[in-house]
Amino acid sequence: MAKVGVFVCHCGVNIAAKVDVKKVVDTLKDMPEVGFAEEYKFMCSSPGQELIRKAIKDNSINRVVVAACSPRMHLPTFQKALASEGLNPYLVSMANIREQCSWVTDDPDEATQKAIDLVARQIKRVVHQDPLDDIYVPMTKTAIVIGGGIAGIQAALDIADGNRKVILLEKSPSIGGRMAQLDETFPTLDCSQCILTPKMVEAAQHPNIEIRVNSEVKKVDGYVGNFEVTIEKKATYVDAQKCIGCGICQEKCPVKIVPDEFNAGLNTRAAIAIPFPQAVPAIPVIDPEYCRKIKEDKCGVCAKICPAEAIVFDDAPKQETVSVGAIIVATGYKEMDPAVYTEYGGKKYPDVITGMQFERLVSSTGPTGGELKRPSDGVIPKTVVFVQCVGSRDESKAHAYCSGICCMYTAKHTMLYKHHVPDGQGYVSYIDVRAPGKTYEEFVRRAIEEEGVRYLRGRVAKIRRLQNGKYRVYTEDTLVGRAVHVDADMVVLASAVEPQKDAVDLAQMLGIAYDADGFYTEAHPKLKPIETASAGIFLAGACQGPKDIPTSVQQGSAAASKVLALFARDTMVKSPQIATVDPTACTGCLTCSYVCHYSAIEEKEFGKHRVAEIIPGKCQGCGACVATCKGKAITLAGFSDDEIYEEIVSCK
Amino acid sequence: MKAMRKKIKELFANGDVDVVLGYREDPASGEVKASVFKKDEMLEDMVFDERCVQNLVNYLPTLVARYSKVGIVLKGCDGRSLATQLVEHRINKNQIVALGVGCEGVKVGGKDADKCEDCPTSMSPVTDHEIGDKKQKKDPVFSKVEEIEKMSPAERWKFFAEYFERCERCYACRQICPSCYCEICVADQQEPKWIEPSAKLSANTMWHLIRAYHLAGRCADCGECERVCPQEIPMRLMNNALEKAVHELFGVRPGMDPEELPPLVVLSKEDPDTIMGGKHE
Amino acid sequence: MQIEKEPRILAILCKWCSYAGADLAGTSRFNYPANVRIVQVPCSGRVDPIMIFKAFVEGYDGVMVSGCHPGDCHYGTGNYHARRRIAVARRLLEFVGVHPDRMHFTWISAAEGKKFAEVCSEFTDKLRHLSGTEKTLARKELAT
Repeated sequence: MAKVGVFVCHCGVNIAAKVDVKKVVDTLKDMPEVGFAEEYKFMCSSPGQELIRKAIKDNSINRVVVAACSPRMHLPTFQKALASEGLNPYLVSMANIREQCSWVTDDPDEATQKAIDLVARQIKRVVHQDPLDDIYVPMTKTAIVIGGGIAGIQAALDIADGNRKVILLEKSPSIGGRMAQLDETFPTLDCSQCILTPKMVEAAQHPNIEIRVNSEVKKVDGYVGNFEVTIEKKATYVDAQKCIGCGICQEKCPVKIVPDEFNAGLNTRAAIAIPFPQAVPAIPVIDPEYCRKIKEDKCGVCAKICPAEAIVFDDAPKQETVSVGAIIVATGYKEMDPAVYTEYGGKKYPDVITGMQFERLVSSTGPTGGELKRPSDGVIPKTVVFVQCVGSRDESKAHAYCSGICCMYTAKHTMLYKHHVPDGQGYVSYIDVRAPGKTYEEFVRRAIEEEGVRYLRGRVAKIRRLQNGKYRVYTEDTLVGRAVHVDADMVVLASAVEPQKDAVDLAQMLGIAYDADGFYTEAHPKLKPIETASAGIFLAGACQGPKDIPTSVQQGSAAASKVLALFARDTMVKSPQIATVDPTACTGCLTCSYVCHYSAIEEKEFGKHRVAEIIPGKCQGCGACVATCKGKAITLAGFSDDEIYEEIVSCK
Repeated sequence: MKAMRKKIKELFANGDVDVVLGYREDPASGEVKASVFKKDEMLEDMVFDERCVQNLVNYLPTLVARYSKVGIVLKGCDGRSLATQLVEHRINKNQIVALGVGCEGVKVGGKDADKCEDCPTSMSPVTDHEIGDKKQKKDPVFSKVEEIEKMSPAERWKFFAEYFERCERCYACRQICPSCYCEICVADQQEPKWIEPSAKLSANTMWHLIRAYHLAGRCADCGECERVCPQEIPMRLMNNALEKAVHELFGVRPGMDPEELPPLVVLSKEDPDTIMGGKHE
Repeated sequence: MQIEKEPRILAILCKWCSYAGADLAGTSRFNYPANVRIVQVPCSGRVDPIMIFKAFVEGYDGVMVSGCHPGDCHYGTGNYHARRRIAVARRLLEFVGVHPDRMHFTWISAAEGKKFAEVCSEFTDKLRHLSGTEKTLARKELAT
């Protein structure tokens, strides 16, 4: 027999000033379900909770209704009070007579009547509540980091140093990401490769890190502590175990017409190639679109020449599912294709290049070996215009947001330019210079004051190629208020930072949110900038929004610390308020499985029948399946039909 | 008819079917009823004409449990019914051989059946063999539904309340419906008692609402519920109203495609909020 | 003390957004009529239209369902499923004679306390304007 203890809180005057608390108690104490009723000034206080404990002991009540504030506030408080007396914590219900009654009702009589009604309903409801036991699920203490750029590398290293296993997943043939393509970095002008390569090597050699390149996520199942991630390794046609990385294959390959992604398409490379000299791992990959052996069954030179017999022409994609407890998403960004800016040539002009192409042009590992020559004719450019905000802060053409890093890398570009061409003149067309980082402003001043770069405030209207091979850049100088033009040998567009092409696909696989631009959304913009709304999935780097290297590294470390904190536990406590199927009532139509967001419903044999089964670890308790099941074969603990029915019908 | 018998004989001879579900004319009474035909049977009693009203799909779940291969003679409407059963995994397609027969319409009580008026398929949308002509038919317009929709809310309630009041809760409509196959019908459940068992207006209203809602996007208008109702409650009206609704709301016509999931379990992020009625911001 | 004549409203609210929105209406002291009875569900996707049918039969004058805005569902997609079910349930109820003004289905976020209070007030107002003959479906013994 259910014997309900009813406790009505005054909440100081918050409730009592509107609701006649005594009348509530007097009206309800004679309900047949009620075994004890009491009012108190502050139920959430220690003496308030003690009242409940005492009534459980002395009056042998076995269900509790607390009429007070919102259950969102203090339900856990009262659940603990029950548990401390050995009563199941799920046998308490709260009537929300503060937020949803005393605070929103004008008339005291109406408020009192409503309060009586609300409490009575919870008394009826609590009788139908069942004791529930928390669910404990094991924690898989391995993490996966998706994306092997600097943010991902940092996250993987920190987790590995914390003595946990980590899989570092990279879709291209080498880790390193965008940073590996950069020449020098702002504001220190230290060589990007020199600071990055040691980290790449450290990651490769770390006993706790397993690097998987040429691999992408295909499917994500499960939940925090117990994700199942399906990874597909693309066909690379080279056996990584056998390859010794000598590079003779790429030297001898006759098909040297493949656009070189690492050099931002400025030159071509062989159909079999190691992406760049410092690549980790330094294993070549065959591009099947170009390889003559794969396309036409001709050539095969690489296989003939390979000293390690590592070439496998019949390679195929392989899928594998790994179990991990946490996921860090560090998929980075891509540079916007400036083709939409037809007024800037829309990629028609060979010497109007992007910021990343400029990086490669001045890099000693780039297509020109570090000599700055313009792409069209190899002439050393004596005048260069750097155009800012191409695609950023320009809602009409591309993006409303600021790409954040271009002001700084452009200042760096102007300096690199001066170091390569000391007698050259650099111009920067800008809207505002945004340099809020540590020593960033000083860096920009140095470009202007020490290197003599001329900053022109205004947006470039158009670029036209002249007969003499120069490019006339029509812009304005709003500080003096007139239109100006510069005849340049080369133009560098600071093209916007954009999410990866497949960012949304990955977000949907992971079940994480993304914004209108396609950047991943953090759980809270200020207080949870690393977490996503999905427990156990964290963000690092520019996939969350434009970021420079230091911030990406910080976020990588921050995400790693979140993962390590999670892995400090051996099990995860899960709410027992989940759905279960009664196999004797289930018809096996499985329509419930289609509405389950968590793929928690599977088929099971039950006698001769096929029925649906809900995996307790996966179910999050939303109840979408319950509302789908016409035969009511599914029950959601805590929000069962019984409980909701009582609330609907017992209303006066 | 000849072609049908020939095809069925061929199926038996090839061992493609163990039994065939069709319509049999009782030579004594002249009545036409659903019947199971076995291999060595003469097929003279098998008929297919306007008297073949019953939806044979109803018998399939029992038969496929007993036989590994079941042939079934299908009118257009029954074929739609079969499609809804296939998508809900009620029947394994590999176990049946669907014999679609070109249907010219059926008669109930000497008159053309109401359901034939809005029938969109002269031939079953699911067939392994097609016998007879497949005519191009118009989409249903549900003119009777439109008439009701023109009434005021109070008039509509008056109309339906009179019928609901008459309901005896015999559940013939449920028993005959191929889509009503729950192990324990919500109307029979004790805790909680969403639908009181006694036949009174409030409980009957609950029954008819939940019956119609549970069939929304699943009912392919075989019309059996209305045909068997001893009180002549216009159940097809409610079914059709929701058929019309799911077509207008989600662009779905139940039963036309055995691969198409019922619209109420399909995830669509693109539905406009206006489908819920009222204004949304 | 039965509050005569004032329309009775059942509001089925999801725990994460709309119930929190109703709490915020309280915290912000936005008053609304005392006739609203809230039932908490984990997600609008948990709402089985049988609850709405029952509410009308039990004599509620109006039924309101609210969940997280599309895209904001705590469970990812529950509100999209709710939208379809509710759309169909509304069509059915209207078809058998429930006045369209007696149903209100919407999205209220945890930040929209004001919206919750406004919706309750406006909904109550609408229901006050309906005549007794339009209070269909309710059990006879209640439909006075």
